[in-house]
Amino acid sequence: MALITTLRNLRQRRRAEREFDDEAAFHLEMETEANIARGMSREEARLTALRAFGGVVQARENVRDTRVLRVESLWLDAKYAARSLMAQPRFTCAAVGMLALAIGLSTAMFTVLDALILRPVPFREPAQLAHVWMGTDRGGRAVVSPAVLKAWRDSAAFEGAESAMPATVLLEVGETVVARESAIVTPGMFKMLSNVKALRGRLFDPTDGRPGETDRVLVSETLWRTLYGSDAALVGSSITVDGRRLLVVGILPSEFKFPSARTVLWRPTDLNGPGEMAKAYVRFASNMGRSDSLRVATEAARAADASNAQLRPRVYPLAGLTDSFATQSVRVLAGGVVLVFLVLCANVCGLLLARLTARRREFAMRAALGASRARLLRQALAESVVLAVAGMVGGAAVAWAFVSASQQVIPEALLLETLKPLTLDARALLMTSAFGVVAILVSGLLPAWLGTSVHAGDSLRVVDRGATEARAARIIGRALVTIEVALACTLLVGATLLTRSFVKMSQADRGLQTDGVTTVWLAFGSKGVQDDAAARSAIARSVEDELRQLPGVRQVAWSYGLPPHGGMLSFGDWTSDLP
Amino acid sequence: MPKTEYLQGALDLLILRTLALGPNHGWGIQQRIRQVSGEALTVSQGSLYPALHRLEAAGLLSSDMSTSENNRKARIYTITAAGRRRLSLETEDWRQFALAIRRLLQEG
Repeated sequence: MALITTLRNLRQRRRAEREFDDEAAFHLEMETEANIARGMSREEARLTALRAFGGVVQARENVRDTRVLRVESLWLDAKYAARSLMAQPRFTCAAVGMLALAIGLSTAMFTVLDALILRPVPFREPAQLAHVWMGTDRGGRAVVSPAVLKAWRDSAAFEGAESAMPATVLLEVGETVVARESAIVTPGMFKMLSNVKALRGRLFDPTDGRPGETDRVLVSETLWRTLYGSDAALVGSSITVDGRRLLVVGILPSEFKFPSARTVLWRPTDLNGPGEMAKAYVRFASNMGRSDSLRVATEAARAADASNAQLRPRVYPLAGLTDSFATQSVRVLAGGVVLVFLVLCANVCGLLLARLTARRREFAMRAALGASRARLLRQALAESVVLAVAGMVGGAAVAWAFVSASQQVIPEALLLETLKPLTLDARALLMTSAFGVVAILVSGLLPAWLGTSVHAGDSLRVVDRGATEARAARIIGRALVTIEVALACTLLVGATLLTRSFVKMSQADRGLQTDGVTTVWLAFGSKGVQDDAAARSAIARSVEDELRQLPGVRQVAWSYGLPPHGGMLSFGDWTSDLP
Repeated sequence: MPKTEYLQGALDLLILRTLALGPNHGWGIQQRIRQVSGEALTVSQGSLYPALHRLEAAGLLSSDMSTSENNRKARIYTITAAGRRRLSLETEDWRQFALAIRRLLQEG
């Protein structure tokens, strides 16, 4: 856009110059003829006319300056600003660095908080989405049976009710076998979540998962890139999952993480399989109250399945850190980030204002030399804008670096809490940049305003006497220092309290001793073993016997899940004895 | 001959006044100002043309490339309605200013 404007102005300028050349030529001819009429020779007449004209080029530039929009002079302003900033590299580095740090740090922090706590579910109207278990009033919970889920679909309780059952699968590619997290989903799930688009191929059709059409599979971009070498022909070909050949119908983008952050493969189901379980996800209708929905859902559940008589649907969020400690500390953290941002901005302002004295003299001098106030303000504006743009670019880079680093630094357990990819939040960047730019503009324009408000003669006198600082500047400087100290104190207190909370949390007695405990997941590849408790036990025994032979192993135990989650599957429990 | 700085402030006024008599080109305006002022006021081209373009940009004049009487391409300037309004304002201002100066000089 800017380029087009510039080009248009250039063209306009050329035309203006050409027209002026015509005009000037006309003027010279007329003048020459008039001179001849006064009795001069032709040559003399022309020279006199040219002399009177006073330099065609200069006149042309004068005309051009008045005719053409000031794009070029804006560019000159920016160039001059950049030069004057370069002349003070230490000041410029400090100001740009601090601004970049302020913008980058707060953007990165916001991005992380946003992913973990504020909006961990990247689907349409995430507040309407929920994960539902059947629960007793005493806190026990049970899975939703397929019959109940279907009853909910038929009732008016929810806008949508779908199932996504997690399962570990073994993938065979050539000679390698790897275990990955997968989910068995009802085809309508993607539509209910919405905002889901296949990277290649398609999502599940409503018919997928029906008898005879269960051999379909969707894989994630991550899996496609890492395990299948970005094979362009993967969609439409078959892969081996748990010993079965399944047809890949589509590839989902790596940003799509559902039902857990680790899920990389999806299989369809119609929930009609023998003994099949559902793990219910629902979307509440926006035109119905939450309690009404749940009341209707309770009635439907009890009608559909007698074993639900004492149970009520319980709603859980899809993802995110939701415990009270997390939500409380997020407020403190967010407050801390805001404070850091303000301190850094105040620093930048202080830095800019510190130059007030020097700038005042420069401005006074230029005002005395005839620069108008508007011109001086424009110059100061250009300087601030150059500074702000540099700060914004630096801020984006810093934010990007922090976000990338945070993926390594943040514990994996925390990262698994979000379904949202940890990428730079453009809106946050825009927001913090806007504040940073305002801070720069205010503190950049203030000196210019004060510097130009005095009569040129007065300010020159100030310069002559070598007066060190204007009164207004002193007042503003002091106010800034006061604000900064206040902010820093608040920050210090906040940080101390936060650290104390974390220390107390980490010292809290969890009722478990995890020292020296190693856990291993065992995934069974073949369907026969998966369903046969005796076969599972046999394998487990042999593994256990070998484990006991290892030096240093004191105890071995089996479980379907780790505390505090426990086994969530409620079929055929078996555990080995403790030695 | 009056000093240039007196002329500078009045240049817009002179141009508008001249064009109020009828459309003209740059050279014509210059000649007319010189003639009417009895050779006392000379406007240099260096200030005349920027002033013309500035007034045009301000919407007080309009201009057109056309062919002059002796078949040459010339830019003809015409005063606009806004230009006429500005002219009457500035004329009044100038009268008051001149009156004030005259009074001051007579005092002394």
